Amino acid sequence: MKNKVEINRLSTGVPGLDSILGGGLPEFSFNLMAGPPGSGKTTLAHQLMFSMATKERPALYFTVLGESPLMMLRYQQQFTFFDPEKINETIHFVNLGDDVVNGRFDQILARIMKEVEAHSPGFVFVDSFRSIMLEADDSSDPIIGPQHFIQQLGNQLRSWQVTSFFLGKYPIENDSPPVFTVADGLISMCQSISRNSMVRKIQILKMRGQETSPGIHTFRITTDGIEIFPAAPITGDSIAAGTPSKLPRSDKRLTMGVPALDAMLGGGLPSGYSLLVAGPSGSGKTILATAFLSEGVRLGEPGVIVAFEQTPSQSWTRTIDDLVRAGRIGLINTRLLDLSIDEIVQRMIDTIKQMKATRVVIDSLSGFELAVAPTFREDFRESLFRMVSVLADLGVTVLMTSELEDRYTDLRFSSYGSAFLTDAIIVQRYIEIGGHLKRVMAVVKVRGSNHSNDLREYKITDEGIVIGDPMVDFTGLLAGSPTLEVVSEVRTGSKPR
Amino acid sequence: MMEPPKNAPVKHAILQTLTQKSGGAKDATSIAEASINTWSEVTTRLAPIIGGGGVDALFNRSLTIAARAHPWLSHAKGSNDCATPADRFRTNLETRDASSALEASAVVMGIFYQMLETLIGELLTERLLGSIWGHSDKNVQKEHLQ
Repeated sequence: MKNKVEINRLSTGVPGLDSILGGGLPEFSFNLMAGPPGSGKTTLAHQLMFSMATKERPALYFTVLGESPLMMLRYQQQFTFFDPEKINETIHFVNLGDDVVNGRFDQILARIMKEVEAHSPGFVFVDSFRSIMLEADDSSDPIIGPQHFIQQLGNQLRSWQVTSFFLGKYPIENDSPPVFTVADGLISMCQSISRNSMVRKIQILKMRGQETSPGIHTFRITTDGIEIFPAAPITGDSIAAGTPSKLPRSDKRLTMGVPALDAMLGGGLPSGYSLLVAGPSGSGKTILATAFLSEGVRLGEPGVIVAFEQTPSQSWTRTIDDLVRAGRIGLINTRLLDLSIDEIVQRMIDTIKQMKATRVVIDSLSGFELAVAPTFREDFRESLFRMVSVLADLGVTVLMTSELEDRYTDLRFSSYGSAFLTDAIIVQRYIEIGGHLKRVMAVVKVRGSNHSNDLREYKITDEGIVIGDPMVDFTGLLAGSPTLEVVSEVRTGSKPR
Repeated sequence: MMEPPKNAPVKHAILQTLTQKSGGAKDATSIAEASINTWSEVTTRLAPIIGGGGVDALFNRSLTIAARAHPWLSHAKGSNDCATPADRFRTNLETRDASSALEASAVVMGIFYQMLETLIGELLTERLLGSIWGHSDKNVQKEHLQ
């Protein structure tokens, strides 16, 4: 029995692109890169070219009108992927400016194919293809029309077994131009501006013969070029209340590094759970998170901290700094204000895998919300759900802190309504007793497990958090008006769930 | 504003090449011929990449800068007749004595090279045009490094 044709998928060398393409770029495909000026088309094309061109499969880069080729070479050299040694070896630039201004479609086609025959390229780039269409279309005596031109160009390049890319500002939202029908792949790029932040987005609108990653993905351009952050996938079965996970949960419990807290949690935090630590400023959320990570290091369970607020040199986080320097935990410390959820998730996944981490701390959700670009803030809750899903799929145990305004009229655990996303909740509060400000904490929820329901006073010392006895002699603590009560019975401090 | 080239190694390599190509730089006609042949090589290598218009623009700018030291070069710049700047450059060189033709031609080429370097970098300029200066390009590279 004869085999079906197997399409070779080329690795693009652009971080994240192979993933959203569904495994790479189909060999010999005819691709369009569409997007407005400044959206990153030329940079993506150059990065692809410098990554994929080889002596056996050289690349031809046709420049047309628009950006001056001289300036293009000047600016593209700023990227680390630009290797001048490859110019005129595996990469050949060809300027079509004069041919386009003076020529017709048939002449342009002949010129392109002449260069293709001369160099036998594996890859062809035309920047910008739309310029050809606009200029040559104005020709008074066309021998072949635009549609015929596209058809012939596509056929001829495929017959030369070329993987080709045509860049241009194509109107995606309006009537599709004929070239869309001919193209095997369609990559759309754009910039989204909201308030004072700009986020770059990329979408694979079409890629024949393979399942691409749907939806809009974000990307960033740095001196290393383009890095794409594939949208964190949520598997179909995972869309259910609570933290979803593909992995079977073990019965293992993680110790928190704070004496007495493990007992309050019913024997430690169940492995793979997500824990929300909610409390007002200064209540010790970061200290608790630090203890959680330090305890992991002590037990040989590496961790990762995503810090959106305090820098590692500040106060309690010096411990974190020491552990990071020692390579015992991974740190993602960002103060950028234009992050996408996908970017931060990608960084987390990379660091978790690199560190083989089992404990993750996100400190804090308030800082996270601030760091996320304004364009994503409306969907912050959905973004959190996405992130927690991905982390659950990785099987890590997550501790998230959440800044809470101390209110005595209502009992809330998160300003995002995200408490339902987590498996466990610890709440910290300030109370006033006898003219002294004291701290109390309680375990509000541990899904599927017994846990203490005591309100316990705790102190922050040089050694960390020290949890005291249950405050059984008072009522009305959370309402802000504690009353001393004579209690005769002994409370067991445990309730079944 | 760009000044006449101070890049002595490049200018030296250009002078060597022009002297060699013109059979010893004995007369202005052979120097003009060698200059035009060299320009033709430059155009052949650069025009496919940056377009004929791009090469002409750089050449005209080089002439303008060089004309500060050699005012007679300004006649080679574009005008309404059909002759190209290179043709006029050739005619201009032919009317001078051998030593000033050689000097002026090397200055124009040096400015052109230097200008390209500032735009696309030393490495890429050397990669695209270096071998035009014959065997001297390795020496140029060596002296650049020093």
